Formats: sequence, structure tokens, C-alpha cells
Amino acid sequence: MLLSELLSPVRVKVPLGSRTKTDVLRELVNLVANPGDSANGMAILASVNERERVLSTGIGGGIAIPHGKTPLADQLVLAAGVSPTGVDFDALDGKPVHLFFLLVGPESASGAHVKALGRISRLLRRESLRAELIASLSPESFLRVIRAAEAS
Amino acid sequence: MIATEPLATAVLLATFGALLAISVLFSRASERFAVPIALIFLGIGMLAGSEGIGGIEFDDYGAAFRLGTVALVLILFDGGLNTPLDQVRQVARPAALLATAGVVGTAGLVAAAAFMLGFPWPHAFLLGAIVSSTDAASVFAVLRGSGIHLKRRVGATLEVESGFNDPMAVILTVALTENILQPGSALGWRLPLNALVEMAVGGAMGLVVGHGGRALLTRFRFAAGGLYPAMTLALAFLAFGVPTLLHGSGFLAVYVAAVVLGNGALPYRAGLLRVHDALAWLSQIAMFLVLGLLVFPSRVIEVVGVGLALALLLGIIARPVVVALCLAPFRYAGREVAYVGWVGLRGAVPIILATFPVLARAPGAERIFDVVFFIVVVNAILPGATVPWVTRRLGLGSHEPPAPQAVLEIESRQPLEGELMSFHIDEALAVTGVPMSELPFPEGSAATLIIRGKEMLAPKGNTTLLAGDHVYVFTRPEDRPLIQLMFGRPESD
Repeated sequence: MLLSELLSPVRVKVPLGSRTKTDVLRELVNLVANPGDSANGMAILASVNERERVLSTGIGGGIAIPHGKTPLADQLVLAAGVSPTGVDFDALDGKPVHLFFLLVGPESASGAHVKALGRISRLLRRESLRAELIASLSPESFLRVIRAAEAS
Repeated sequence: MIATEPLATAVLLATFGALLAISVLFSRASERFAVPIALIFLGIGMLAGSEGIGGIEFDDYGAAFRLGTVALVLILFDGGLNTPLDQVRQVARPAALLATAGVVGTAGLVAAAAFMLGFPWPHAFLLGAIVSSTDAASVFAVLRGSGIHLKRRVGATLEVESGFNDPMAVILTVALTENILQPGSALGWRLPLNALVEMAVGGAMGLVVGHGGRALLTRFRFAAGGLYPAMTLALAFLAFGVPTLLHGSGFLAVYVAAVVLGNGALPYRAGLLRVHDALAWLSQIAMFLVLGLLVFPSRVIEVVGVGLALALLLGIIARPVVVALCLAPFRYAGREVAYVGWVGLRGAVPIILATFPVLARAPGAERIFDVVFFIVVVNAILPGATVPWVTRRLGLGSHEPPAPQAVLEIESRQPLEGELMSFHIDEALAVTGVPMSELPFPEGSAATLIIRGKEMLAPKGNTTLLAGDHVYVFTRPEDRPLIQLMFGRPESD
């Protein structure tokens, strides 16, 4: 399963407009929620917040990978966003977060869900790739960078 | 009093043993009343004292000062050992500003108020300096009692600040005491210059002892495992004593040395930390018992008006204002600033510092001691008892999972690469309900043991993690981010 297959240009936001953790989570959830279905968006946001309550998913290096499981999601979906100014996400290294990946799926896909988390974090280990993603100016160029990285 | 040996020693040990046992037995009362645990020990000391039911006569300020200093050294050393370096780095600048300019600002505001309440300026400044340092241990003790974990950066700020601000308060107290004995000696540029020298020497010596000590502990092999904590204890005493003799801040040196030691590879790490944790508790109890014995409640009652006014000013105006100013250049949310300002609890340091002018026979010092004592007690009750409530109210608490049934630790003389971390499996985690074989463990990481209720399970490929489990994961430092992304907060943090 490739990340570039889970993502699509409409689910990538460059740049993100939010400045706070609460706002940025809402902004990312809006990318994956069914349009016009507020219950769907609320359930997704609640599941993501539940996970953040345990420990911030800002794992350091300017990356955060918020994620959640909810029956209202009908399949595993991924969204991404770039904040050039950075957001205080209560990250483990205390630094502002620039690069966000939001992963949401149903309980039934929990195996694929956790595998995708592993994949994202492994891919983003390369600092040059992180810099390239943060520098991308459009969702299309963001996806191109991901695709190229996964191909290599 | 029985003066002949060995009866005198027997009386001393029996008395101290009884007080220690009572303190330990009553320690959980602090959870029930949500007051800092120190207040309980202090209360037991007062009850045992000359004006309480125990009737123990004790007015040796010198012994109290010496015991208090040793206790503080052990408490600071333990605090430093448990402070992660990335936490220090993260909040170094705001904490340093709070610990220097913040201490001076708080001292100045309290001094101005004390002057208005009738203290002459030299005494007012001394009083301000004595009560200017905070004690994060009280904050954490209160929070732990109510099962709340503080948000990372806020907790780190409070903790590192309190590790760094005792030196400044000590420097000011010593200088201002001399100023009372020889008027004018603390004026002008000498005080800031002295402070700078003390900090520089203390910090540098702390680094030397920390790095030297680590080399000593890892290169040499001692005859028995029990000798390792003896060596770390020696390092703690050296880290205080040597810099103090060289006009450096011993307290800063102890804290710095401990942070250096705690963040490196140490032989028998878990055991060492346990010994120092126990020593810190023993110090805390002994120190507060003795301070409780030392005080005369009847004299403290005489200063209720002044003490209450100053305590309220300190807690409600001086500390919050100074914190707001010091944190303004950094990116803190308003509620975080309000929180750090409100929960700047005072601990034993002010009471111990207040014995210093008494020992130096500064005129009016005993009244200052009584006022300081009263301020610390009020401060422990007023912001102190509200800590859990304020933490929840401002939304700064983070989730605290239940403690595991069993604790597994790796003990080794040789520092090992890699670490064993335990996690509580929360419903919201990505790994919950997923069989082991599907978890994307990095090369060199693995789940080693699952504790489910009273059962220990071996993680096999088809074992599925359930909410409520505790799982032990072995990992290498570089893989920690992914492990924490999957499993959340390590229970040992």
C-alpha cells in the first residue's frame, strides 16, 4: 500500500492557514470528512483528539501524524498539509510542527492503519525529503515528491 | 534530658524513628486534602515540638541549617538525575530568565510591600530575597496525588525554573544578610557581579563533576553493586562542597552535575535512581520535621497580619506579574503563563534560607524567620491546594494511565544500547486490537512482554493488544519516535 495511493490532491493543503493545534486538527479533518456531513467530521475529530490526549503525535523533527479510528470512517484515508510558519503542537521535542499527515480509518482496517503510520514515519526519516515537502508550493508538487520518494 | 551515652543516642533514634514512621504513615493525607506533602511533615514536626504535644525542645538554627543544606543537596541531585536533557534545552531560556530576573523581580516586589508594612529597607529586601525561589517538587507531588500529569512544556518550565532559581535566592540572601551586618555592602555593582561569578563557577564545576563522575562510574569497576550509589552520593556532596569553597554556587553545581549524570549511560541505572529517590524522600521528611520543630507557633501567630498580607501579595500579584513579564518574549499561551504564575509554590528553601540571617546574628532576623515560615505555609495552602483544580480548569492536565501491576527493569553494570519502555494500551491508540504480526516494528525493536490484569503474556504473532494492557517494548533510541507514535506515552516518563 503506497501513501501516494492513499493521498489525493484534494486531500493535501499547502499552505495550512491554522496557527494553533486545535485549529490545525480541524482544518486537516475537513480534508477527509464527508462534505456536508457534520456528524462524520465531529466523530473523526473526536477520535483524533482522543489519541492526542494520550500523547502528542508531534514526534519531533517538525512532523506530526495525528490519527484516529472511528466506525464513521468507511475506509482508510490520509490527508496532509504544510505549515511554513509552524504550529505549536506540543511536540515531543518542543519544536513547532511544519508537516502534518492525518490518518483516519475504521476499526476493521486497524492493521493497515498502523502499518501506514509506520510507513509515513519511515519515509519522513530522511531530512532532505522533509525539507522538500515543506518547500512544496502546491498539492500537486507535494504529491510528486511523495511519489518520487516511494518509487526510489 | 538524658545526656549520657548510649542513652542519648537511643533517645534520639527512638524519637526520630517514631517521627519518621508517623510521617510516612500520614503521607497519603496530602492526597486527601490536596496540600503539598511537605506541609504534613511540617505539621508533624510542629506537633512534636516544644509548643505541641511532643514537647521536644529544639532551637538549634545551626543544626537546622546544616541538615537543611544536606537535604536540599540530595533533593536537587535527585531532581537533576530525573530531568531529561531535551526538557532542559526546550525551556532553558524562559527558565533561566525566571530563575534570575524573575527571582530579582519577585524579591523586589515583596520587598516593596514589606517596606510599606513597616520593615526597614535592608530587612525588606532580605525578606523578599528569601521567599523568591520556587519549589516544583511540591507542585508535582500535589499533581501526582490527584492523578494528573502536567502538559510537557508547562511542567518542564516549572521544574527547570525551580532547579535553577535556588542558587539566585541563596546568593541574594547571603549578600543581603551581610548588608544588614555591614550596611551598604550589597550596594552597586558588586551584587550582580558576585551573582554572575557564582553562577559561572557553579555551572562550570557542575559540568566538571557530572562528566568526571560519569567517566568514573563507567570506567572503573567497584567491588560490589551497592558501592555505585555510594559513589553517586559522594559526587553529590563534592558537587556542592567544592564549588561553594571556590565562591561558586553549590546548589547550581549539584543540579547541573545531576542532569549531566542522569542523561548519560550509568551502571545499575534503575537501582541508582531508586536509591536517590529514597534519599530525597528521607531528606524531605527529615528537613520538614526539623523545620517544624524549630519554629515556635506562638511567635508565628504574632506575625499573622504581616505574613498573610505578604503571602497574598506574593501569590496573587508579585509572582503572576513577574512570570507574565519574563515569559512574554517566548511563545507561551495565556493560560500557560497564568498557570506558571499561579503555581509557583514555595517549599523548604525559603525556611532554610531564613535560618541564615539568624545564624549570622543579624538584628531582626528571628522576626523575618517567623514571617517567612508563615508565608510558606499560607502559600502551600492557597495556591497549593488549588493546583489540581486550576490544572483541570485551564485544561493543562494530560491523561494519566493507571499504573502497571508489575515493573520490569534492566539492571546492568555495563551501559547497554537500547531501552525497555512500558506503555499502557489506551483505546485510542493505533495498535489497540491489532495482532503483533501486523505491527510495523522497526528492525531491532520488539514487544517483549504483555501484562494483562494479573497475567503475564508472551507476545506472539497472533497475540492482539487489548485496551488496558501494559506492554513492554524494547527499542533503540533512534526508533523512539515511531514507537511513541504507535504506543503513546511511556509509563516511566
